[in-house]
Amino acid sequence: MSEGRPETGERSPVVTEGEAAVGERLGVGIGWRPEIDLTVERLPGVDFVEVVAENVRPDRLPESLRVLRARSVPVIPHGVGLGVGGAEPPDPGRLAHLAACAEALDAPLVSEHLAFVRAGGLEAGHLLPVPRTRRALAVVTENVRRAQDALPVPLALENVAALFGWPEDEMTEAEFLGELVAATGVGLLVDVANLYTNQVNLGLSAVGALDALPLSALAYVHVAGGHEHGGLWHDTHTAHVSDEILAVLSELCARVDPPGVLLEWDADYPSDAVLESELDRIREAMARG
Amino acid sequence: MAEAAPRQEPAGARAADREEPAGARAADREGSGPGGRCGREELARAQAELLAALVAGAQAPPGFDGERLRIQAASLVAKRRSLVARLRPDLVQALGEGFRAEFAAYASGRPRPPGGSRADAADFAEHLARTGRIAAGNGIAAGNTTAAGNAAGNTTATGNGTRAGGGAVADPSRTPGRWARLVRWLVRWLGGERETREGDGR
Repeated sequence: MSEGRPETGERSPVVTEGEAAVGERLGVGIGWRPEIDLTVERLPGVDFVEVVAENVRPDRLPESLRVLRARSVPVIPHGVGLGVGGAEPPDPGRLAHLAACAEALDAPLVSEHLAFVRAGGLEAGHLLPVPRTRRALAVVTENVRRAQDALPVPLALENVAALFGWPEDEMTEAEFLGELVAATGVGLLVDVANLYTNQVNLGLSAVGALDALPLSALAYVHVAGGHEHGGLWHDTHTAHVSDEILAVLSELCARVDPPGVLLEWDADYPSDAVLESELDRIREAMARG
Repeated sequence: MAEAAPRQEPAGARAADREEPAGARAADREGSGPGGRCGREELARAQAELLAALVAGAQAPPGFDGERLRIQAASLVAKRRSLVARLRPDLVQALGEGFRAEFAAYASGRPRPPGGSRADAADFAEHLARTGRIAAGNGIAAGNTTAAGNAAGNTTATGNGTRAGGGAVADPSRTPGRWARLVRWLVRWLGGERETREGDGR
């Protein structure tokens, strides 16, 4: 589909221990959730899973995750509450929890988001976009370094889905992530559904973002379904993955061989057969790239 | 769930001795180096103003698309609502079609309390009892039987296999009788293997 497209490696990230995040072969996976734990265990072709780190206790891992680990299925702790894009340095307690999860699960890496989740004593309960200015980049760069220093494994950061932009934005999210990768060696978790969301909601080309991201730092990829409502795309993780989102995945695969691709489904769970077929559709989209 | 720990060092306490991006060097020249107080304070102020507009009914900071912020604010309430609904299916059942509107009335301009979705669910139940939407004892009693509410919340109607409840058609080899499953689940819940539902992968 995009044979002969130029490589995206214009920026060569500083080589640090973070580089180890890249290259770990993960395969195709699904987000482990307690509501579908047995489903995840028995779905064919699940090469790795991800667990929301804030929802588990490392000293009392759910039985299902222990079963998966016993089968040598990699389990990646995925944080949603660190807020590495916030104004405060990352909370040492939250970092210690992520580190403990990584050790308990013998995880190859930990992932989080380029987002802020709290400010001024208020919790957003959601991943909100960071103002993408040079000054904010300096703060986030130090936050990422602190997180890397506190974690026993490499960190990868995910691009977020946004409904709005900051008026002072000086960079695209891809450029901002590129600067972070160059400065810290942090890995990338590219969520193609979030790229699609930003294309619909903010007019930002998903393919353009793929061209700007330093995909050489790619750790793995997220795919998820959502809903269109009032001309806006809501990334709900509760629906069939649209063909448009799978096309973004194919575009990504035309540029880089992703170490892993993971389906996120968070509520309104469909039958096991539907989840299996979604994983098949993901594999087909990867093969088209 | 990692509770917020006391800050162990002030903002910017650690010297950044590695190479800085261009932006960081520019900030240094302005006397507000990477992670320095000026940079952090400026970012903190901007993020706090925006978040107050999104979750606490404050005025939108200048320059933002007000309509987009309104949509984002509604989306945040919807996400809170779905998490509370999962924790308290009894309230969903009690309010029926009114659940959505009642939650919107409760959450509008009222930030999520510290303590996450569990605290939000408890506050919502208390709000409903106080405003007479549900019997006063109902909210409190239900709040005290969170385990039962969670057990109900963990059932699925789609035939997915779950270890913790529901999934009656899931996996005969691993699915004991209904009561045995409930007992096993309660034991695990009391033992701390409980779903804190702080959020999902989004």
